[in-house]
Amino acid sequence: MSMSRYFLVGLFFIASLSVTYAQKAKWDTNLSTRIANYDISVTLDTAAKTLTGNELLTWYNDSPDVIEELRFHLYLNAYKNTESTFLRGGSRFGRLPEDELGWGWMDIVKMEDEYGNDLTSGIEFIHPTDDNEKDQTVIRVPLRKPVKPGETAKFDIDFVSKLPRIIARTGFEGEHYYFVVQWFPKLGVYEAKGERGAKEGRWNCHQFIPTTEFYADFGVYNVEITLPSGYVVGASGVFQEERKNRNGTKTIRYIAEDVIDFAWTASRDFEVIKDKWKEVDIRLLIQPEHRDNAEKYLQSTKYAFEYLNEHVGEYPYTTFTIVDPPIYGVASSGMEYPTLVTGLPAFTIHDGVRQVEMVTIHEFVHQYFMQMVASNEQEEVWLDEGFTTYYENRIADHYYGEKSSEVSVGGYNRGDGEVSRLSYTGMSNPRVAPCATPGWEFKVGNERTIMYHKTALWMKTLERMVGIETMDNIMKTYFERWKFKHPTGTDFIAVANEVVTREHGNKFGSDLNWFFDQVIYGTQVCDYKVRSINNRKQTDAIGIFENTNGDKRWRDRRDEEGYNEKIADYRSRVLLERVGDLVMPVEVLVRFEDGKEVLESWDGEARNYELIYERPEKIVSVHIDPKQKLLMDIDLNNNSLTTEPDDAPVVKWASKVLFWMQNALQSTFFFF
Amino acid sequence: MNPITVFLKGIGHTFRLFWMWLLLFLLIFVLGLTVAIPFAEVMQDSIGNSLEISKLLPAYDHTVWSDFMNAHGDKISGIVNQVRWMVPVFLLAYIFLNGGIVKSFVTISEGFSGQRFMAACTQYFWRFFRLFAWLMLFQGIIAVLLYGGAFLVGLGGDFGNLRSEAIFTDMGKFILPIHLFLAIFIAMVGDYTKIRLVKENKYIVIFEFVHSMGMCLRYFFRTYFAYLLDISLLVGVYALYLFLAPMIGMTGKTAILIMLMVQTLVMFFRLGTRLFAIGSANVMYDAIQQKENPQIINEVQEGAQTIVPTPIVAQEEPQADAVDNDEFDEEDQEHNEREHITDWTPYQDK
Repeated sequence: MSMSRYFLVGLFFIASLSVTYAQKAKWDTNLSTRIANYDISVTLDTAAKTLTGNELLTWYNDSPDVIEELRFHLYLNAYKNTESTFLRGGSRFGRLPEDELGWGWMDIVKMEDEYGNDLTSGIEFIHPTDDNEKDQTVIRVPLRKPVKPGETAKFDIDFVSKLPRIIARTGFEGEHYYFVVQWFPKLGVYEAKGERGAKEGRWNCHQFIPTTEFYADFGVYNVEITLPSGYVVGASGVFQEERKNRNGTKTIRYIAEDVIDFAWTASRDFEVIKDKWKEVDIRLLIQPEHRDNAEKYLQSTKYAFEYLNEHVGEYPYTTFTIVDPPIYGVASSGMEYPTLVTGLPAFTIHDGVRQVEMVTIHEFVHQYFMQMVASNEQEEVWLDEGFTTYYENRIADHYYGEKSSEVSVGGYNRGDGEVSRLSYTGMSNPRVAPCATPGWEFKVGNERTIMYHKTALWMKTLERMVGIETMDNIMKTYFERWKFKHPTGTDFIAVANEVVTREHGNKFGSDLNWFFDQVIYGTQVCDYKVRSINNRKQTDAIGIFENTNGDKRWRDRRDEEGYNEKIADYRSRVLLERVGDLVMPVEVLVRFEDGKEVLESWDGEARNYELIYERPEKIVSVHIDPKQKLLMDIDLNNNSLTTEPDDAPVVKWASKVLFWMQNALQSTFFFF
Repeated sequence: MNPITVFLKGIGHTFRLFWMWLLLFLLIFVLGLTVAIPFAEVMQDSIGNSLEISKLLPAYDHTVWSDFMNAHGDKISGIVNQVRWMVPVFLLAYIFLNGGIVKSFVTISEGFSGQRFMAACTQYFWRFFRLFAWLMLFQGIIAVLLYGGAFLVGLGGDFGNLRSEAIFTDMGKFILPIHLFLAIFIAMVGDYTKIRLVKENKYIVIFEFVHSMGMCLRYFFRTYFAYLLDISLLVGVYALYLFLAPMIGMTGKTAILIMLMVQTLVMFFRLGTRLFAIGSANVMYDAIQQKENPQIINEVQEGAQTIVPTPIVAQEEPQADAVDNDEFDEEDQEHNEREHITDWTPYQDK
């Protein structure tokens, strides 16, 4: 080959590098059974706020059933009008758009199977969740040619999606910001008999409910997005290539493998910051005015990577994108999608207020519980949100301090785990519903506290009960066994019972169902209390006793000489009470005035439980659950009692109140 | 008329009225106790015997505090409700007491008299209440103009136009200092208006406010600098407290008692800075009057009440609507006797 040809080959090689940049996957085999695979090409019209696209769905029937229909989510129809189930959930999503451009919808223009059969005319809206006939977020599509078990079928779908103004998770704001999720016709999940408790084969394809999120099968997403040049784009998966088009647009392609969803974002304002954790490329898309938060985003992400890789399992993807929304797009903040999350827009926030870090950690943990362990977020919200909150608490407290991880400003400190517990224990009605309640059955707006925080709290209680090593083994086993699958709550319970029995035998009973029945499926509230301590000095004459010769003599109990019974100075009585209706075995620490301590065990079942001691020393304090394993107890202050109280704390805080009150009074005449 | 000298004289006058200062402080202190003592009792009765309460000694503990509030918040809410009404009622009381405070400064050469103090409280209450209303109105107008204007200019009157929070800091850099400057100026003019209302026994508050504003503008740097000295002293007291507080801590009974004394002193001096401002305003007012009307000042001594006597000219009968109260009363008699005026006229300013 001549020099000029070498030169041309080299030039071509260099040129191809500038057009094509692809990362190879870390793995050589599929991570999941790739059931629902999407090849999508879409064009964003920034004037009309529409996406016009073509979707080639390749669906693998891994069930033993012949499938005669498909069901799809058309999530964007939730934003079509106020009659949708989603918007009937009301004003929690802020101000609704006041013009036509602000509303969203999704239309299927045409749907054909691989045989050319037009399926469009058979499409009908259904309402499997709440019978709202005006809701259009789920369709069923009868098939001309059913799909047999083990077969793969292809469907060619033309669609138009109209993005709404961002009032919840997805849409546009102004000309500058697009956050695009649930934007394409998305297939539901077919569950065969026995799968997730199904009594017979069924489609699991719920309407879009305000209190729930999403559920889908794993697959490969090969997505091509065409939009005006000048936008910075971020998306799930791995960037493949970018082509500049002649009409002032550009086309970007991403591939995401073994994921359950595909989200993307575009903004003219993003600054791009790149970082790395081991082999994972981290990409932060941040608003210029939030640039000061970059380190918070990146450091907290790395902490989460490190902790979960050590305590749960390996993060298998090669990319992770964090999107920092602008303030006017705040309704898209705090959400999780495969390998892409949104953080929290925060401006000039004090370093001791770690909301940015907490949200970032929380959304990252969802990569494990929601994305890889793809439980049904609508039916069992607790399985992903509660688990995620539990790990958010653990990671935050580990790296930022148990008592100061959430806020640490000027002597005011709050821990993330602490706040999570108090969210539940401070509820006006903690019995409102069990954790296992399906998302759409929460009517009173307390779903977040029960599903997120109560779940995290009983998990923390379980951790303290069985020990952190056993808890880690439970979660590692659960993750390894159920990643890239769709587990249910009973699957998790089975893993927990298996691991605890293996490591602790019958220490907690034959299984932990007595625990899970109360905390997951019940509404019992935990509250143990030390009701009283009574130390009675035994100085009174008691009566007639036999002396060592067997003669009956009257005596004072202090006079022990020559008598059979040795008499103690104090007869101390402790009364414990189970105020709540949750039953847990507890430890009770009793401390005497000579410093000696006795650790008792109580099964926690009786409403009242008495401990009696006859000793030379009196009791000075009693503490139920001294190691605070039982964090579900709604009042930890009544778990202990002392006969020698220290009034210094009361004096301290009363003097603070006095100071603040005087300041408040004097402030009234600051300007007069 | 050196502002530093004026300010120091104001401080001196306040110390001469130490008993008034102390009584006012004790009033505030006792009101604070009416909240702090019930709070202490609730805390002691509910969790005082729990081992958990010891966690509140070294530092704030969110779990202990929140569990306490969750279980016993209904008792605390009663105390909170008490604070809610106590604050506005105290403000009314302070307006009432202001008459006596200002009168005491104006008659500093005569020493503090409880009887005169209470009489002045009653005499000037409605005028001071009206002044308070005017001041609040002006402060509100300034805030609305500044922040409303920023809202219109920056966001076109619609929060939906917000594109970046940076606009808040960009505009705040200018608006906040301007607001602070104007708010302090209005408060300062208010103090001078109080002096005028008492010294000249005026009744139409808004007129006196405008007059005082004119005077403050004519001597702007002197009056404003003296006022800033007072505010700086207040800031300094708090800065010292914030510096000392961590060093003392509140982790033991001795430290708690020391801190209680420090906090009491801080509150005492905080009240003092308010009195210093009124005292120095009174001194500055006299100095200004001395400068502007030297030929008819009868007596110029330190602390002497400076009076501008009405020149003896034929005067028309007072208009019924010119003053709020044209009845000849004891004060008018006293005034005439003091001024050796034999022809009775209602005391008026020219």
